[in-house]
Amino acid sequence: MIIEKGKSNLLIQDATAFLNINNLNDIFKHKDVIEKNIVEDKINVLLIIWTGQDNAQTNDQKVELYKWLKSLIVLTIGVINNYCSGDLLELFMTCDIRLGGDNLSIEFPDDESVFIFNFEERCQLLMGNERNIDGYKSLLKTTLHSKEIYKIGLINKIIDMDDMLSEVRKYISKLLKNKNMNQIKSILKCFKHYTHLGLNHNRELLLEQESKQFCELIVKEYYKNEDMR
Amino acid sequence: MKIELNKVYFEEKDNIGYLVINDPPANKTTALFLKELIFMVREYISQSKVKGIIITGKGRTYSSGADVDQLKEIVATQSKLDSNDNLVGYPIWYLENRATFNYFNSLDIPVISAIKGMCIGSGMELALCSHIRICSKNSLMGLPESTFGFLPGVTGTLRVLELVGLGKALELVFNGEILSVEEAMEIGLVDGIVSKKELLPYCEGLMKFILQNEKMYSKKYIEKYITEYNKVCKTSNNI
Repeated sequence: MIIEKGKSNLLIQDATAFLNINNLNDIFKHKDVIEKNIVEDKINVLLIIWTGQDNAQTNDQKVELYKWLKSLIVLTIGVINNYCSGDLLELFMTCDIRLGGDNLSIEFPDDESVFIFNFEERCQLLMGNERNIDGYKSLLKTTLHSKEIYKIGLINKIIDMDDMLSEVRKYISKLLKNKNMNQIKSILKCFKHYTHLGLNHNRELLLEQESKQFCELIVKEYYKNEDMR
Repeated sequence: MKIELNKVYFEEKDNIGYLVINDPPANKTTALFLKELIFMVREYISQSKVKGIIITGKGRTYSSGADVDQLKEIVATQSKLDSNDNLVGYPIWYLENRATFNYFNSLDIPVISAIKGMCIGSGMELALCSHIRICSKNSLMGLPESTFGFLPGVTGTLRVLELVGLGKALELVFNGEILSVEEAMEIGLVDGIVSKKELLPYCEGLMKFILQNEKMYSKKYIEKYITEYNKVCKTSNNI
């Protein structure tokens, strides 16, 4: 895959959709192909690589994009290595996993109301809600760099951007090694449920999905193995 | 007072309840252990007047998790799928397991896990339901369920998410990696590391310190309790 600044492209390889975007509207251009591949069980990871500058969107587009991304039962991974704020930050914070290069810097907004999703709830979801319940508002009006962002848990890993594709491939391979599509989907459905409802939702309802996915996966795999015997 | 079943016992001493997984050396969370734990919580722990609970394992290890084959067999044969392979019902004891693990997390009194040796799988899920996790050096922690073809299923996915956030939680569940206590502490799964010898005395001291506090106990102040306790007992060189 050749990543060129100013151009967007989509490569589907090894069950991963590598989507290189230059502006947020580029995602819409490839939406149908991505959906088709998900329906056909051909991909389980959507990797969004940001190489652009223009990140402005209208609110309607934003809502449509975020709803779409949240609805996908694939692992969404965002990769950014430059300045990230506004709509781009919101997109980055919608991904399940975030990877950043050394040059990543995040400027948090002055006011959380500019976010389509609830800023505090999103922070709780991305960084945990047990130990820093009141602390997320302190991120507002700050600019953080890659190491600080990694330290607060907002990105999973700082990667070498000179060898970005290889690093990302290794990361995905380690994550999904020896797992079949049923298992990946069950884990994702469980976490997508938490993402969708938010951590402040009724606890029993949150846990019900974990139980359902756990039992359904075991039953399916058990009888699949029995049939093979 | 001490209530002893086959694989678990509960003992009350000085207002502290000690819940001990008693199936050494591995302290597996077998079907019998889980059944007894449900019974113990329902009949004794929920009626007890203790002001705090310490959960630990007998012998050298906290718990090395479920008997995987047994677990798969029970869940697979007692769950129901419809004609489209959608789950329509799971075993009642499984629901009770979830409620029992969640019971410890939802308590308004401090619950501390004193962790040594292996703390993995559903053993780790039980530890995650404690409010505070103190480990002895060289302990190992992890949720390796995904390497056995399934996922953590007794509150573990939600608890790691609450503690370390979505990205890290997905990594832990997908990778199934076993972490050293130092790694677990760095990402926020563990609250303190002490020597093996100090483990129980430290947990008891911390519990007493929290209970002596004038303010009502709250999970929000866990970091503060630990910092203050470390200052008071001057064991910070071990932590």
